[in-house]
Amino acid sequence: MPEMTSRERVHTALSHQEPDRVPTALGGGPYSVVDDLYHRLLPALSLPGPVEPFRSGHNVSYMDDRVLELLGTDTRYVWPTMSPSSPVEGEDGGLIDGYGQPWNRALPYYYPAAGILEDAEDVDAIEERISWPDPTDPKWTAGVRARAKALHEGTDKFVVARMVTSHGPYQTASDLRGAEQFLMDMAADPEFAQTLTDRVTDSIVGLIRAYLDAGGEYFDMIELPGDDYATQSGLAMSPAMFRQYFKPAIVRMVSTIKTYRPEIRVMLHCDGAITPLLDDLADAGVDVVHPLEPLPATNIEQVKATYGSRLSFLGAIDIKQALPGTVDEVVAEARLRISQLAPGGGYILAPANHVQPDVAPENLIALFEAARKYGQYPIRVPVA
Amino acid sequence: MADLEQLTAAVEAGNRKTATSLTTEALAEGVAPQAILDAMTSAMGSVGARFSAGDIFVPEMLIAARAMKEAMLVLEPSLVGAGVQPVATAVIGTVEGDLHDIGKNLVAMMWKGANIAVVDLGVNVSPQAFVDAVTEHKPVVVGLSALLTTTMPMMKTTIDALRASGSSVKIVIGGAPITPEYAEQIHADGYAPDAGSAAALIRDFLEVPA
Ligand code: B12
Repeated sequence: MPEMTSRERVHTALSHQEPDRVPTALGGGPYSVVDDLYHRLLPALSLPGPVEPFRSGHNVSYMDDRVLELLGTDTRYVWPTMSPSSPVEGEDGGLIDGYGQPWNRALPYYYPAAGILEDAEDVDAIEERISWPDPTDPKWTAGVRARAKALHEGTDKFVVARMVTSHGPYQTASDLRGAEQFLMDMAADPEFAQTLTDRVTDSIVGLIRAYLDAGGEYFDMIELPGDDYATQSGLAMSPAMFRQYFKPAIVRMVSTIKTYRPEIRVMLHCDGAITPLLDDLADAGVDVVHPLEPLPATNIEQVKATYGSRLSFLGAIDIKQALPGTVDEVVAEARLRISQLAPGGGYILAPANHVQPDVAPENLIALFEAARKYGQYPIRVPVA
Repeated sequence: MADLEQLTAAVEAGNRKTATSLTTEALAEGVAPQAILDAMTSAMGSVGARFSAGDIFVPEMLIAARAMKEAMLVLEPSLVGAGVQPVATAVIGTVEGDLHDIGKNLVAMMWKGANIAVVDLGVNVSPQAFVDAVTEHKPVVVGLSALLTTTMPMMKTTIDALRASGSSVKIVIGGAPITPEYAEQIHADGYAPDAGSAAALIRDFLEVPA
């Protein structure tokens, strides 16, 4: 097969056909490298110095196309200039996000302080206490158009619009209300839980629309804001509750994108053991699921057999044991996930989450070399 | 006659109004505070077991714990009056560098549900802060939570610091990446895969019947 361009390769895979080789990705909202590893990757790739960080305060701050070029990945990214769920330094030096929610710093990261809605007694507080972001404010999307256009016209890479805000309806509601209180609302105060979820979704839908208006004609894929509905061993909430609150929110976000241009692929990030929700995600119009976290509770072969014709998967490379392990273990992980997920297309190889400081730069380089070597179609399943 | 089985059922269902009013009624009728407490801890025991089995999820477990907490506000003065004390004190926290706390909070709730006084140190807790809390509160058990492979080694550092301080407190660990093998390797005294089992684990240590 003649070599495809990156854009063709990813589009082919996401159309559930086999491209020339398995596409690869690094640098998205939930699958970049943490800053510590970035700084160690540069010398390992013989690159002179870092690029300017694209944001501050986070533990993932660099978007460096030179790194992606040298690793040979197929996707390139556009990102919002600001994102409401990423806190910035306020006037008093404290951290505050775009909803007015204060955050605590815990270098190199941060976590929400007591939710501004934590002690709210009724739904009126949702409008009163939160400064809902104005999606028409150009600050969210400044620079998006120029970069998207440059990537679309000047490269043959697959253009991905990074999450317009890191947290989706469930996690944003948890930030604002306090995670436990919001989970309790879901069970015992459905009116509050529904009103807050809907209001957060309105806000995110507005931002997605602004993102599309800014650069949508050049996007190949959009990442929806991340929402972790699952845990290590199963779902955090019952499928019924997911369907009640969050599936409708996903449907709204997806249809905003598909109405703008149906060809744009939609990716959703949800960690943990999410198998029981995959049917609903496909049904809601999600095209690509990240990360399909490799866990004992997830039978990846069975997931591929059951949902592989309706969903594509991005990720699946274990960052807990395999990537911090030996180079041989990294190569074995790449071969295993390729054999499980790549047949028939529908798989983009990528890490399951941001690659952490416990991973050697050589291992990351080895991962993408292995993907290129063992990801040639037709896939030959490794003999154990 | 206030029905303690109904109280158990109300706590299990997370029905805090019913749980509180049944507690008030039972007290008014002169039911022994210990019996009322037992009805609630038994509810939390079965909530924990159903959670471990995957029959219920985090929201249902949280509202059950809340129902017990609110009913306990009514019951506590009578417990004190009758000389009923928490069976023990435990200290819990998420280790330094780690900010995940949903799982740790569930464990803390289940321990409270087993009538254990819990001192929750929060997230990103330094080894020294654990040592200080153990000196101050003299718990029988310390729980360490970690959700990241990069913060798991901090569990060992914390255990070493606790032992270096001369404490022989029981140390139990948990969190998504933790395995029983790891617990053994770093000389923890116990491990539990989920909040329901964490409550059973501490009951074993205390030799409290379930
Ligand atoms: C929700 C979540 C978050 C939320 C946390 C919100 C909060 N307030 O806690 C947010 C979005 C903030 C987050 C952030 C990050 N996360 Co996170 N997160 C998760 C997720 C999806 C679920 C965790 C959870 O809440 N589970 C629900 C509870 C109920 O379950 P649990 O925590 O496992 O707890 C149960 C048991 O483990 C046990 N238990 C827990 N503690 C204890 C303690 C004792 C004493 C005992 C006995 C038992 C016990 O009982 C609990 C109840 O049953 C996991 C996925 C996963 N596989 O677990 C990733 C995950 C843990 N996160 C991950 C990562 C990488 C991160 C980040 C580092 C990402 C980044 N920016 O680089 C940051 C962390 C920053 C930091 N320094 O901590 C990775 C870790 C990979 C690794 N190398 O270890 C995971 C596995 C996701 C993945 N796809 O790989 N995360």
